[in-house]
Amino acid sequence: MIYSSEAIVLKNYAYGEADSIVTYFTKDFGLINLFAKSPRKIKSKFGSSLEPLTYSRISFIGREDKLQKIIQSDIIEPFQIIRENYKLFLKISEVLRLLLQFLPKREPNNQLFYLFLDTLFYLKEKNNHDSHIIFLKLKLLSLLGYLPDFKNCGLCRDRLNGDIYYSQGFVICKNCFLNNLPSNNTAIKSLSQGLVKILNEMSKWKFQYLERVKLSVRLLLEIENFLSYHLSNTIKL
Amino acid sequence: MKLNPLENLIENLCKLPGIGRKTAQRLAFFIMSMEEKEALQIADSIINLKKNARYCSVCFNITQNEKCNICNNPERQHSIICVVEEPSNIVLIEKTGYKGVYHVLGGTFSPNDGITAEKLKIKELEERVKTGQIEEVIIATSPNTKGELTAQWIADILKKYKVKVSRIAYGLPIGIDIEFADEVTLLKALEGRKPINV
Repeated sequence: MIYSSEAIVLKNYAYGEADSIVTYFTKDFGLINLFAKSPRKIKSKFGSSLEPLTYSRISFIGREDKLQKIIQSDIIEPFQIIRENYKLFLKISEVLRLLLQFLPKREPNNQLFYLFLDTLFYLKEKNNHDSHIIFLKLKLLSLLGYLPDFKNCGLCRDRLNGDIYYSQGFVICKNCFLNNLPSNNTAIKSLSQGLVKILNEMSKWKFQYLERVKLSVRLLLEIENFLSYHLSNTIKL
Repeated sequence: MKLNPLENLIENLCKLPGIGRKTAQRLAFFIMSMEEKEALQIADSIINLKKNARYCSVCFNITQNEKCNICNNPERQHSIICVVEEPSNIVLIEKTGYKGVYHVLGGTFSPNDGITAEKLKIKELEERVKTGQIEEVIIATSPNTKGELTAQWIADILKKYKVKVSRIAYGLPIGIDIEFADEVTLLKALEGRKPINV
């Protein structure tokens, strides 16, 4: 049986002498790994279509329980401009790493697929990209269920108010913080009410809304620091 | 459990990249059928490689001495450095008649696989450029995302020095039909077009 879908290349790595294994984020099948025969040969029919970030329509064959083989890849948008800007590509690499780490295999997620695609189209056109990449990371974690609850305390479930703390993957209230002081105090981080409020709101925003708001550099840095802290302390990449 | 000699050879051949058990078996039976002298030559050359081969202290090519033959050759143009990913790339570029010298990076930049700039011989390249005797650095990494990232990274580091940094051209391979080329390759070929001198 031949399967086909729109897909974005997340990663490709060399396999054997001239073959590759390509990891795709597909619209219809979610995250899949496909075997590509000889794409590294100079006259390969795949050309540049298996390079990371390439958005294409792919066809592949084989049994679902085995490594399937890609037979065709027609580029819709190569996003070459992003790949040629190494500073931007390094930032997008962090998103690729999160997708490879957290995206479940063979579970379509159209909302995340189109959010990723919209962000890539935006990055292709615009120079100002920090807010969009941070937003993409936040939404990615939110849509895949790796973002803490910013509205209610993660332990007692009371509405968050006053002093707010972050500990081991939870956003908690002052009472829970005092009652559950972990032995390792470095695992606790105090969060400003403003940060918690914007994180809660941003996780519900749509991509188009981001065009209408302007986030300060300081706030973006605060959000990015929080996300890095959350990922390094709880999920252990 | 002690393996018999044939089984032992198959197990060891399986450790080589791209060699599965079936291929290893075929190779092992072929070695078995070879003249003893020929088989021992293969074994000797592996021992010789491991005992005597080392990396050149200047360019990191494979050599038997402190410096490789290319770095030691006074007839080469030492002011032009061609930056390559692996020593095997040098063999190919040498066939083109290139007369400059080389610098082997030992891979390409790939942050998501844990290969950062510190793991490549980029600092050593910068040290060579710092001497002020280098006129041009030609970056000959593969024309893929990792190769391009590495090239841009190097160009960024070297921009503060008075040295010309160039990238090998992109384009269409000779002998193909243009209708089979993808749009990125075609775009690069158009960007890198050259006037025809007749």
